[in-house]
Amino acid sequence: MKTKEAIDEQVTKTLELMEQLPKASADAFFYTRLSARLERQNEPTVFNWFFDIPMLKPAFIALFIFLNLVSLVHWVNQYQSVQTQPLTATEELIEEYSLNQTTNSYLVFNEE
Amino acid sequence: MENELIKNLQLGSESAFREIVDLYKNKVVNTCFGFVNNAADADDLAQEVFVEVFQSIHYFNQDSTLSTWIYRISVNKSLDHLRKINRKKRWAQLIRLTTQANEINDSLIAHEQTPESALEDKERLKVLLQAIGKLPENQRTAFTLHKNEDLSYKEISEVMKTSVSSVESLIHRAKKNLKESLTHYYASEK
Repeated sequence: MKTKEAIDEQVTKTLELMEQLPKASADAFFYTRLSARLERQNEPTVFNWFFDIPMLKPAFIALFIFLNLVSLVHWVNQYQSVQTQPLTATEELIEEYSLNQTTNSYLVFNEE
Repeated sequence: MENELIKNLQLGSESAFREIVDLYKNKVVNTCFGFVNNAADADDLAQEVFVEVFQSIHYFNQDSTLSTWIYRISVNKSLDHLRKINRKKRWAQLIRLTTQANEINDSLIAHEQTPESALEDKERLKVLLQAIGKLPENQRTAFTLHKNEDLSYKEISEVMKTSVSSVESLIHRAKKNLKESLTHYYASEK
């Protein structure tokens, strides 16, 4: 547990550093970079219909989500209808004679 | 002289613009650095400030001095930058603070310090910068302009478009909040 004096000492030492806050200055090439930036800004920009119309991005995302939802609903409906479809004649025959099951009965010859 | 510079710049003179940049570049870079505490970001912001000076000089109606106007643009750009950081990447700001401390550490070691005390100061400075970063925007602006740029209360009041007494109050509250924040930090430190 720290004493109040110890905390106050730390706070004072830290606040003293305010007088030593480092200063920054511009380097020798500051103006060169600045004029290059100004020139770049004055260049005619190519219009990009997708990125330069702000409304298009959210609209595109909304359309993407909508199409995905429609596809999902369609797929679920289709899957359910397949599950409940009546059996065809061939399938009925397979079911009736248990042709889809393997049997383990063997023929035994009478050797007498 | 200032009026002539402004007039020439409004006429599109490149030499006038260069003169203004030479006159104010260090002040602008240092002001931005006081807010963002990162040399590269401060340089980038300072460039943005001068681009705006160049583009908006026609709207400058000389109701304040050129220096006050440029400081105002610097403060607004820096605060916008900080808001953008806060909005987009809150976690990235923490990483940035770590980087800042390293940068500052180098400048502190330049003084004749033992490695031990330099390391201690580095830690303290990191804590101090974090505490300054937590100050409300208006307190931080007044405090930074006063501490980093040594502006008088009157000059700060002109930049912030407020009264001198408000600036006094803001700086007083900033110091009080800093002290409280540091006390809380050291009390909770193991």
